[in-house]
Amino acid sequence: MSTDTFEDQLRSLLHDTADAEGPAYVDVDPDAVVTSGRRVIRRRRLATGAGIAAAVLAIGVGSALVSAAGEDRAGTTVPAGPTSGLGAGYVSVDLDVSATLPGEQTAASDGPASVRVAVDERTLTWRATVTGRDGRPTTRPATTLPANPRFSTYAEVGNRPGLIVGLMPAAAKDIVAVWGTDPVESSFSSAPVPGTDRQAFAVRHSAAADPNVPGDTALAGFDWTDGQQVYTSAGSTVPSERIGDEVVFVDRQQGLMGIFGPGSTASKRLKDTPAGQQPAMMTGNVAEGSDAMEASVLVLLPAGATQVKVDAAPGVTLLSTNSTSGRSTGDTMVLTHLRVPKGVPGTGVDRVVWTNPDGTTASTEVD
Amino acid sequence: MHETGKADRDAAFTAFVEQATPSLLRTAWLLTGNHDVAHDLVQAALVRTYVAWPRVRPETALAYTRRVLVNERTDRWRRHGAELMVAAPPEAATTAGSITEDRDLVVRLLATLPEQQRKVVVLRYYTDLSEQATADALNISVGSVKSAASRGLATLRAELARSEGGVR
Repeated sequence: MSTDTFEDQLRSLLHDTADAEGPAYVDVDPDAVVTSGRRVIRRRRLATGAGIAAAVLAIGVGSALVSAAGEDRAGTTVPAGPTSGLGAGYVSVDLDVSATLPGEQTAASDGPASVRVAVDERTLTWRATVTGRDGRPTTRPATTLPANPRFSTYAEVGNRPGLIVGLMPAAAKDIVAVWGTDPVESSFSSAPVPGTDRQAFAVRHSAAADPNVPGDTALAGFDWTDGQQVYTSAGSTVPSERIGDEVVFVDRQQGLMGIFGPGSTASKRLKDTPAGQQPAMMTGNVAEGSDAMEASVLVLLPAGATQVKVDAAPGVTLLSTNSTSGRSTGDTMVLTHLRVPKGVPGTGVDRVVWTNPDGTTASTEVD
Repeated sequence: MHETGKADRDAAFTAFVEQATPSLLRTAWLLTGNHDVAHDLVQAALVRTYVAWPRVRPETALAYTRRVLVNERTDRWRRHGAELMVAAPPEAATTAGSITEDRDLVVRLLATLPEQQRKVVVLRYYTDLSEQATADALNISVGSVKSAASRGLATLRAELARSEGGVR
């Protein structure tokens, strides 16, 4: 067989096979691309202009501030209003957004009380109606809904900044938000939208949206987990590993590392790693009446690190250590569980020692 | 005026996305053998193209995005390692000449190639780029393209012969 003939056969094979895959391709939503692109531009502007680093806040879905719609409200069909111009195919869910943020005037009458999120899967549109504490409704006009429920969408709604409402996958059990501004106060609520693969969410926050980007929000994005893997709000997969009942991840694109756990969720900016150290973070809970924290500490080591040894600080009890291979994340992730008494500063880990793939031994301090 | 310009730009970009996505998805699938990974790659490449859109000429937009896609693929390859290269093992084909068989065959064949050869083969023989255009897209020399294509073809020819017991 001549090379030319084989090249022609190869061309035909590639084209025929790729075309035959037609139905299996996952469509790309242009709106989601544009929205994500705008956020990248806005983040760059924030980073280069104001010099403000992304502030990270972990939000637990189902936390104490969650106030999902009750069964009596879920599934309510929102009647098409005379001015809505929309059909009656909407399914809605109500979220309680009346919680006040620290520093907020509790008596403020212009704050939001509840928000109704309505979704029409037939026309792929969604809208939100905010009811203020004064009882006045404000409706955000219907906008496009991503066809693929794996993509999230959200927007600032209401008469003033401070309330972000959107839709994310129903599979999301926990999220970590990334703010484009200084650390903010926030509260979160969510509830599944009946009959869909989505859940509505609302975030009350104290961050100011970028005034240079009309219609944009202070929320730069978020990562979410279904309990097995981690994804971005734009639908991409984030390198992650499930270890026990926790999911740890490294989102290099957003510059985050994090732990999704059953009791607590937290994340940290990679850029906040002290010079000369490996990235590390901790999260944990203090049981009522206890004088010690049950802590999870995540340390990132180079891919292929082996013979990992964690040295706990004096007085700290080392409960367990697990290491991932780093094959799926590009980093070896070391998750350590400790019991850290009150008064012990830092993470409770003093030092981590490991062996590199080339056989050399290395170590890092962990603040 | 500013808002009108932005709206026009977004409209032009959206039209480009709709036009280019089928080709990009096919290219990404051939590079990865996995539809979800292909989708992520295309999505990421298009987002980066949007950011650069004011500097991208319409006639080169597809080539630009394809180059971003290949670079994104390279970045992910370096970050994630080999598990992204091969999709789930294809089931054994049972019907000669079927689409399923061809699909499995292509995934299996491409998975035998080193990453660079796979990209060269896909760009040269699926997207029909010239050697120079392939070199530009991969940021390598024309000589490297020729070498990778030659080795890739040799491997594919041998694998094809082995899998089917002769010339197709």
